[in-house]
Amino acid sequence: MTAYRRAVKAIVPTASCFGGGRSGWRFFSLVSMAESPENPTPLLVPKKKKKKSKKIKIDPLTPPPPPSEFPEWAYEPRDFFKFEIVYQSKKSRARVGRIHTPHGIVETPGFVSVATNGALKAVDHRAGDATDCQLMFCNSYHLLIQPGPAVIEKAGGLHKFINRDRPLITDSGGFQVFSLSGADAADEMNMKSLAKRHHSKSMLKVTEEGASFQSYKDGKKILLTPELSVQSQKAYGADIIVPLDELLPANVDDRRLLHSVYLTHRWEARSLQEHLKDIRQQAMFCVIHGGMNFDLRKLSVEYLTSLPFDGCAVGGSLGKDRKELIELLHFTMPLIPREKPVHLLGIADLESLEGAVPTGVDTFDSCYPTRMARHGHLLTRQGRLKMPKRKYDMDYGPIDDECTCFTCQNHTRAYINHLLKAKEPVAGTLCTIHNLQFMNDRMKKFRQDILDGHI
Amino acid sequence: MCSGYGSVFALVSGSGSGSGSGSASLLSTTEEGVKFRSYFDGSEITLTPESSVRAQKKLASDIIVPLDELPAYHVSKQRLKESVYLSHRWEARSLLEHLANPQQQAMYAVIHGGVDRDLRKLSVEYLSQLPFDGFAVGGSLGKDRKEMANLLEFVMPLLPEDKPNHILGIADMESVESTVAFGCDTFDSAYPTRLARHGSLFTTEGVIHIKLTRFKDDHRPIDPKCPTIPYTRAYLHHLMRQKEPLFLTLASMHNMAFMNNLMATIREKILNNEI
Repeated sequence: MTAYRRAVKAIVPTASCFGGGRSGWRFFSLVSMAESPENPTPLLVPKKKKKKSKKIKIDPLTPPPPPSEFPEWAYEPRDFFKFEIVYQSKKSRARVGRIHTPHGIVETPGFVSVATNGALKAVDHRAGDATDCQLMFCNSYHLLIQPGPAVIEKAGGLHKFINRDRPLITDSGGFQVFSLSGADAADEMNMKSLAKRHHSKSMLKVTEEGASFQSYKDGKKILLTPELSVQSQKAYGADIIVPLDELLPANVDDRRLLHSVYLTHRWEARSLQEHLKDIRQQAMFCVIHGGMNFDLRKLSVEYLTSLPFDGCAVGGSLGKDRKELIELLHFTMPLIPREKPVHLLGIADLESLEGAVPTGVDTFDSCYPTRMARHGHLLTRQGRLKMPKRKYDMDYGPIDDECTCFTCQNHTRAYINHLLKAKEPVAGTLCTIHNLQFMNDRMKKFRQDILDGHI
Repeated sequence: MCSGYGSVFALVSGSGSGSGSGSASLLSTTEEGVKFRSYFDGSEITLTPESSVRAQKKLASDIIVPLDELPAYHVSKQRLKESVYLSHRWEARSLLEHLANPQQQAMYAVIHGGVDRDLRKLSVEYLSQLPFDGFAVGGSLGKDRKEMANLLEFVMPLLPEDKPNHILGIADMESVESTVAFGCDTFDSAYPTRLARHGSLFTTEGVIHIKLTRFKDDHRPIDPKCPTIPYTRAYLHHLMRQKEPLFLTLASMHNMAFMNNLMATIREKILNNEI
C-alpha cells in the first residue's frame, strides 16, 4: 500500500456514513482514488464492479500443435545461426563445437556468465570480455520490469544498450516468475537471497493464457504470456531466445507434472509460432521438461525436437542432488539429435561440469561463480579459497599462480584480502574478474581434453 | 598522503569524510600528540608527529604530510592562535623525523590559520622558512565558496613561487574554476567519486541526476561534449534503478574522467594565456 493510501485510510470515517454496514477495512477496498479533471484532489468514489471474465475450461491434457502445423521453411537451416561440431569424442558423447551467431562465435563446451540486468555484477563488459566471456545471459524478467522492452528497443537492442558486441542469450522470464513465487520453489532453486529482496508472493496465477504476477518495482500486475515473452525478447534482440515454460518445484505428484509438461509444450509451441512470425536473426532454443520422470522427459524431447527449434535447453527440476542430475542427463542427452546444440540451465559448478560434459552438454549458465566471488570465495587450480582470512594478510602472491586475469596479474592475495575486509566495492569487481577467467579457462581445458581424447 | 589527524578529526566532527563504519572517538590532544579509538576494533591509538611520519615512511608514498591540528571553523581567536602554534611545533617535529631518513619522499607543509588573515600570513612566513618541498593549504577555508576564494586570493601570493602547492579537500568544479587562477597546483577531494555513487554525474552543462525518469529513454552518451565511457545515459539510469554494483564503477569512472578532462582543459587554457 502506498504511503498516500495509508494516510487516507487513517482518516477515512467508518462504514456508517457511507452506508452498507461493513467494517471500515473491507469497505475501503471497495472504494478507489479517482481524480476528476476539474478537481485534482483525489475523491473517494465507489469502484466499478469488474466483470468476471468467463474462464474457459481447458482440458489439461490438450495436446500441443503437431509439427505439421509449423511452416515447412522453418525446418530449413538458418543462414545466420549454425552449430558446427568440430570434434566428436570417441570415448563419450562429449563434443567440441562452435555456435555461430550474428554477434560472434561461442566455443563449446562453454560457460555462460549471467548479466541479470544487462550488467555483470560489478564488472564492466570490457573487463568481462577480456576474461574470454563469450555467450552472456540476461534475464527477461528483470529487464521487463526495468527498463522495459520499449527503452531497449529504442536504444537499438540489448547489444547497443549495454554496449557489448558479443553473443547474448535472454530467457523467457518464466524462471524468475515461478521461482520467486513461493518458498518451496525458491529454496530449491537456491534463490533465497533473491526471494528476500523481492516480493516472495509476487506470483498471482497460472492459466492457459500465461502467468500473471506483480511487478516488484511498482506493484503493477503483469500477465506474462508466451507471446509477450517473445515480443520482449524480440525487442531485446539477443542472439538466442527461449520460449515461455512452466517451472514446478521438485516434489510434485506425477499428475501435476504431467499437466505441467503439456501446458509447457503448448506454451512453447505458441512462443515458437510468435517467433517465426518475425525471426529477426534470432535462434530459439526449446526447454525440455519432465522433472525426474524419465517417461515425461522422453515425451518432452520427442515432441520438442520435432518442432523447428534451433537448439535445446534442459530445464525444469534436475533432481535433488548431483547424482540424480547426472543420471537424468545420461538418460536424456542420447535422445536429443546430435546436431542440435544443448544448453543446461542454471548448473555450472565444477563437479557438475565434470559429470555433465561427457554426456554431451554444450553450454552451461550459472550465477554461482560470480556470486561466490563477491562473497570472497575464489576458485583456483589448487582448490577453493575463502577470503578474508588472517592467513592471507601477508600473502603477497597472486590468487592463482597460473591465472592470466587482470586481478592475478596486478594484485596480490594480501590486497584482495584487505579490500574484502574493508568492504571496498572494488573487491567484488576484482574477485569476479578472477572467477570468470577461471571458469572460462576451465571450459577451455575441457575442450582441449576432449580434443586430446581424454574425455 | 595525509597525516592521519585530519581524518580522525573529520570522523569526530563529522565534517564530511568519515568512513561510515562508526565514529572514531577522539580521546585527548596533548603537546605530545593525539589519542583516539580505532573504529575497527576499538583499540586506543596514539598519533604523534613522529609516529605519523614513521607510518608514512612504511607506506612509502611519494609525498607525505606532517601532523597538524585541525580546529573547527567556529573557534575563538585565542584558541585558533594556540592551535596554529601547536601545529607549527608538530610540523617542525614531523619535518625533523622525516629528514632523519628522507627515503626519496617529499614533505609538504600544511598552512593553517583558519580564516584569520594575520594568522595565515604568520603560518606561511614560518613554514616557508623551513626546508619543506611544497605547501598544502589546510585548516578551515571559510564557511562557503566565496569566503574560500577570497582567502585563497590572499594566501596564494604569499607562498613561494618555486614550490608546488596543494589545496586539501576541495575539488568541486566551481571551486577549482574560481581558484586555479590564484596559482593552485593540485586539489584532492572525495567529492567527484562520492557524488557519482549517489547518481550525480558531471557534464559540461552542469550536474545531471541520472536517476530521474527523464533519462530513462535518453540514449545519448553521458556528456555529448566530453566523451568518457562508452555507455548511454539510459543504461546508467537503468543500472542505478536496479541497484547494480556496476553503476558505482561506471559512474565513478565517468566523473573521474570528466575531472581529469577538466584539468587538462585548464592546463591548455593556461598555456594559451586564457587564465
